[in-house]
Amino acid sequence: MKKIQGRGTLEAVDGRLDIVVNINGADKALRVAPGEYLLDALRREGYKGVKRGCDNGDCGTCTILLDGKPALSCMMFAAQAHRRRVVTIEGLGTPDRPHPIQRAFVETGAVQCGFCIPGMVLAAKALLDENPEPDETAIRRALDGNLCRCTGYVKQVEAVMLAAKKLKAAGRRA
Amino acid sequence: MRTNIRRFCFPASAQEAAAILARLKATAVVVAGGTRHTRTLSPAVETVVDISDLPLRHIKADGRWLRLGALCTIAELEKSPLLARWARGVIARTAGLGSNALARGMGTLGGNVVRAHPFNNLPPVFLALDAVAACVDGKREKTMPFADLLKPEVMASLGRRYLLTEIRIPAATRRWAAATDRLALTRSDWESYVHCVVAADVKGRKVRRAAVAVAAILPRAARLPRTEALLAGRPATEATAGQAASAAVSELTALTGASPAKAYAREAAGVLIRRCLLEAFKEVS
Repeated sequence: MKKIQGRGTLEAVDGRLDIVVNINGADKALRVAPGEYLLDALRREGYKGVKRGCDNGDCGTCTILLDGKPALSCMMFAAQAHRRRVVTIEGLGTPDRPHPIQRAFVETGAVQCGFCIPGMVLAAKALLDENPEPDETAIRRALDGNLCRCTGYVKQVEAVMLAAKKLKAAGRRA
Repeated sequence: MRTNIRRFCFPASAQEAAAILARLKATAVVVAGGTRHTRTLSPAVETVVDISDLPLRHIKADGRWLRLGALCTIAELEKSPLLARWARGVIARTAGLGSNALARGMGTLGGNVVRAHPFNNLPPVFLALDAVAACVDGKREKTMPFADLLKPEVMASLGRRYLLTEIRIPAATRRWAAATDRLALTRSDWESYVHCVVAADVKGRKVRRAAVAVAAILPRAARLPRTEALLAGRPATEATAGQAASAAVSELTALTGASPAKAYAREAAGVLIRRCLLEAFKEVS
């Protein structure tokens, strides 16, 4: 995915910036404070799957996909996402039709308390987009910015391996 | 976060970005990966200059140089097939040291270099590979040896008068033997106590020339010229590696003022340099 060119200059009016962000495939006009983080703007707009964790780029629970790459929404201003493509967990699947990665997380029992899982699923999607057949080392490396405090990471690694297998069998990309 | 930001600019060229920064001085800040400034912004800042659209994301080689765009992410350096082969993959391996996949995916080469933390990973590897830094002001390009870029007075002008655009590494270093090692609290820690990079041109089991760079233990990354002089012309053996490590500890003692607080770090640097040399020598055997 490519960024839209020519983003120009954004000037605050009455202490607010008007930005346009493509969220989960639809352009959305947002009015944000200039110093507002993308995490806060997304949550205010109802994308609650973007979780607030450390607020310092350490835990990965606020992970989104920005132009297809995983990014920490707590570490960037909302205005930096102006005219860029954001995918949150809400854009990946629905309760009725979960994405194969989400299904694999459920099937392997990797979800646990669920708090870190949206970020982990999106990090896994980015990995599988880039490397459809990752080994365990590559999976652990790709998920090393997403902290889970429930237990270890065995089930999540299994989930990503299962998702890779299912996607390959179905002949589709993540 | 409460800030005094009033505008965001998305310049279309590095010259335009540099011109905006020069005009607005301390009231503007440049953002690329975003991991540096978003949490530590000065209240003086009114304009954020987002340079993430600039075409400075290349990793390519021509007859003279390996060229690394300042907007390459740390992850792109880590995963580059070209860098995996260059100087025994030392740039890719250094990029992969520390932090996590998300931060490496957002943080940029430029941010790692310009952010003047002594423990940043990339400066010692660029020093050891004789890199040249290319910067632009509002009008023209300026190049300088990478070591000059690290001088405090030059650092202070980056993101003000100048914008780092590219790191150039001489093509001759492609076949050098090189290794990197560091001492940190954990493997994923971004900050290290000591970080060493060794790069050597070895021919017929003899060191023709060597570069030894250290970071974290000094206020900014630096080469160790006395240690390098000792290595030149010596056989690529374990004995040479040991002698160079001892020389490096003495040289660091002179540079750190024999501070007892640094004694452990100096000893650790000696161990790391020896390890790096042995690894580099092993690769050419």
